[in-house]
Amino acid sequence: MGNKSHITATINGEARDFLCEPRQSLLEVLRDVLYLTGTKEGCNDGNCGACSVIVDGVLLDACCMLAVETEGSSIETIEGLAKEGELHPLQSAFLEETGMQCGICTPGFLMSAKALLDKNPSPNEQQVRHWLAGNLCRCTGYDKLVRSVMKAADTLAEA
Amino acid sequence: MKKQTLSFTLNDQAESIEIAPRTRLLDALRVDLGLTGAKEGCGTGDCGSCTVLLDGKAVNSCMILALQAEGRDVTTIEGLGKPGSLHPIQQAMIRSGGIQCGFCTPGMVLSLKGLLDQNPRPDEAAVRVAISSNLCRCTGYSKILDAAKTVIDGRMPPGAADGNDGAVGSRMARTDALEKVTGRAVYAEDVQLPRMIYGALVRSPHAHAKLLSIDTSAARQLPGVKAIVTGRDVEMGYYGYEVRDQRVFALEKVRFVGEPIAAVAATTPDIAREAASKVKAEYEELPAVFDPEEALSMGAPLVHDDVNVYEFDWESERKGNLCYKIEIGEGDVDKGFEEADQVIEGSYETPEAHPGAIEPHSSTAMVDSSGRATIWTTTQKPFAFRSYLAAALKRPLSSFKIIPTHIGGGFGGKLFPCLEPYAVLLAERSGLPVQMTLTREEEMGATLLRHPSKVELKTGVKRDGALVAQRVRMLFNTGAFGPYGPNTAALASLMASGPYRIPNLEITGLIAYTNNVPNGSIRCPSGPQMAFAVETHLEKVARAVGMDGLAFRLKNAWEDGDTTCTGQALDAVSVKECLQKAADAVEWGEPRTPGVGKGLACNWWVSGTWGTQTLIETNEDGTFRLISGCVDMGTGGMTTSVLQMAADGLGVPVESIQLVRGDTDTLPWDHGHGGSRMVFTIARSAYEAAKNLKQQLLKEGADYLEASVDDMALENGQVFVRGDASHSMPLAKICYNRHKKHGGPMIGVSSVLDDAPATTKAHPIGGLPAPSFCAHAVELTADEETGEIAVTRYAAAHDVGKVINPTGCEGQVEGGVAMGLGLALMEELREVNGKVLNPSFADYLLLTAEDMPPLKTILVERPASEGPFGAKGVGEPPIAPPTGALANALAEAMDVNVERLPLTPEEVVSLIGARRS
Ligand code: FES
Ligand code: FES
Ligand code: FES
Ligand code: FES
Repeated sequence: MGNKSHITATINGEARDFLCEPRQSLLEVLRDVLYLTGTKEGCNDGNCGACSVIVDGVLLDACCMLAVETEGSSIETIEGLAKEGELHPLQSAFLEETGMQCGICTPGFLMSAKALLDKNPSPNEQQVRHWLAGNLCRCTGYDKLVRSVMKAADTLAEA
Repeated sequence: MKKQTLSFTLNDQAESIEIAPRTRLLDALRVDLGLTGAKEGCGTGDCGSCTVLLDGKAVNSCMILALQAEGRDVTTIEGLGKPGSLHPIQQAMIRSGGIQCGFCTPGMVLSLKGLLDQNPRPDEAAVRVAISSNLCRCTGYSKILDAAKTVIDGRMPPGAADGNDGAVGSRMARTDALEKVTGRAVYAEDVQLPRMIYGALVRSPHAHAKLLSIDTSAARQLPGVKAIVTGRDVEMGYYGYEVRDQRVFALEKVRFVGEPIAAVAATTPDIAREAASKVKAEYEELPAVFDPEEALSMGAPLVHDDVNVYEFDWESERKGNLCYKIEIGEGDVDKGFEEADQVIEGSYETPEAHPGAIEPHSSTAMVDSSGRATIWTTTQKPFAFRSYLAAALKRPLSSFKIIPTHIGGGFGGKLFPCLEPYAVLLAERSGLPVQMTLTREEEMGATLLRHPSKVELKTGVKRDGALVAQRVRMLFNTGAFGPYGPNTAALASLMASGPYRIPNLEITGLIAYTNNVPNGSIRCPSGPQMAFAVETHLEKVARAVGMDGLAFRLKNAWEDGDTTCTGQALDAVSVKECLQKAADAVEWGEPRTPGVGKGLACNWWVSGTWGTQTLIETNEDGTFRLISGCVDMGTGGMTTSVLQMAADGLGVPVESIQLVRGDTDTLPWDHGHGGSRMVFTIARSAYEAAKNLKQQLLKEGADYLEASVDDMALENGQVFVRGDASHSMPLAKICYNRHKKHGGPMIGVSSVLDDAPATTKAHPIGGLPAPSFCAHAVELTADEETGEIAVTRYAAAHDVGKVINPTGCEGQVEGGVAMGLGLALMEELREVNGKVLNPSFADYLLLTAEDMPPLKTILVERPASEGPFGAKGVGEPPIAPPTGALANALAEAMDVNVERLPLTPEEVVSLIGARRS
């Protein structure tokens, strides 16, 4: 087994450092080294979006990025979405609109939607559907998911 | 801190880890390598629970730096034998019943292995020496010595589990023995959660002081600190048992040395403790009171400004430092004294004592996003803990889920919350799981202890030895809070006459608040104290009328139909039988040799009860799940007798019943393990549930076979029409059909809360169902010069009503005698100005394997009228009579007047000095 690399990064606003092997994905490190298990693994090959995280403002599949690549970057995961016990408007909207069933895809959808709203605060339905196309959900049929995101966009616009 | 590489052989495999240089071997094993079989009972080299083999030699891994193992060979319990291929020592421990709570077991097994590897045929003395640094609080070592003998001789000793058939009365081995003997059983400190951090308490250094301010700023700056909480940051309620007088943090003032004022959590235990030491508090000292008599006198400093503001379930006069007062009587004592030929007075004192479980308190809490707390903890009362926490933190009951882990010895020390509220508050504030474990020093210095007692007795007796009157005043020091004070006094009032017929009685019990460490409800609360006072005193009464102690007791002892001081009429009374059998075992009638003393003592005790519920559910393959909310504090009743009685009730082999372990979310409600209730209450409930389910199974069979349910029987896995084997249906098929085809799974239910037997007088505890009786006899010598006592023979006769599991009953008696002898001979927590001076196993001595005398256990069976088999409780009573029996034997051997425990060599020398002068 190779030598471990020492990585320093900001995770959900907090400076963190960790040891990882050069071959380890960001997903592995988040879950197995840092115990941030909110980010899920659905396929480990970039097809399901369950592992979506935001790195330096860019939406990424954490399973497709090497952890060593994150040196010096800022990573956002589902654990950082609610601030000081206050849910993010996206999370509230998902609750109100029942934007989830089993919930395994939910963290990924929330991070994808956040990346969208960070870029485009008032997307139309088609833009939402297009943006979320990288996230698979087997339970909901996507309608309530899309409605949740639209609702959150409205809430954010009012605020 | 810079880490270093440690390479060594661990359980025959090369291992290499990076560790901080000052890591102890124990932590490297438990924390870095996740091998939690080695336990930490003390961390100071005094208990042996952390024993591992280093190059084949038993060592305390808490006293060795991990780096000292560089290049060497380490064997832990995990490397010794796996389920399925156990080491002979492990097999012998299981079959001999050498395992109770199991906390000492890994260390004990490895010490024995270390010995036998060097010397395969040691004599018993060598075995005792080899395990003398492994403390066991449960077993009294007898069955551990049996196990060693088995291995040395290559055969099973008498008393080995007999093929595990599990019938009522058989020596079934406990079902949790395997996980305990292989180090796999998870105790509270073995819980490891991802991202877990560690908590520590900030405690008051003063016995009584105003708490002016708390400054946490320096502590907060320490890197690694994640949360700090004080009483000012929390909404606190009062909690307690009968009396709710306590809050989780001191607020306006502190009332004892060690009272928590703040809690800190950090990434490592060391940082947490360092941060705790940096929390600065300002105090203004107040006059304190430590002596209970002084506390009750006029003008004493008040521990609580107004005791009447606290909620209290019972009736009592409460004022000043008086926490509780009970008075009960019978006849007219003054008239009795007038009628008496002699009136004898005496006063007796016992010190504060520690329950002495080898496992320290430890709790781990995690709070989810809805604010609900999950708590892994070592508790005898998981359901009660929810309500204590709900009251203490002012939240609904449902906000707590308690997951009871294995308990490394309870003995009453784990009946009341200790670290749980702090772990919850810190987990909540940090957003991380928090584990807290007491150091041995905190464990000995600031947890609930056995009430110290002062008992004054005045007894009138006729020339022929008949007791006519007794006045008893009992004073217990409950310390700064009285969670179990009232209960202790109430129980003591029932024991104040002993198991004797005394027509005129006047009994007063007082509980005083002082600025001492609070006391609790420790195994047989008040029992050893009262057995010492009453039995030592009555021996003097017997001597005053020139009677032999046995004859005197037999003359006055209760018989069927006699009544207790509450007016409860007794049946199945066996005091005399116990007395006679114990006395015979030490050849009581033989002429005495000078310098040799014999002593007797007897007592009676409760057999549990309080509410419980048991469920037994079918599985689809015809096996069963037994679901009870009662935990087993280590005695083993749950993993033997409960299953044995359930199997009997169902008519199925015990192996087909699986005991479910769960938590307060999933298990049916139960009061908790204590009060000698496992067999009398829980096993009886399991039996009722089994009967209930059996009836359903028979009915189902009757429906299939078109027969009457009254003609049905269940045997050998078949439900059949009695007398007609051709009409039968496999049990497995009945269950399968119910689960998969029609009707649904079947469940047998029993909900139990016994009514107390009638009494003629009001008493907060009232009548006691199925009381048990016992008597102990001892023979000893004492050294005139050194004051050392040598116990040469010991016999304990216990009426258990019906023996459900002989190994288990003997284990309770042996372990109880060891604890009682400890109280008689060596155990004393010395508190001066509210500070415990000897908070360690080096300075507070427990009996070791070398100290344990030869013991004869006699099980008497006088069935109680309650319950299917008539079993009575046995968990607590064995610890009571040793105090009185020892005192009486010493008095005879050395012609001294014993009025105080423990009988340490110093005490004996001073008694001899007093006799000479
Ligand atoms: S797990 Fe990363 S895309 Fe599926
Ligand atoms: S809610 Fe189940 S996969 Fe989306
Ligand atoms: S923990 Fe090592 S001897 Fe007690
Ligand atoms: S079995 Fe030895 S301490 Fe409990």
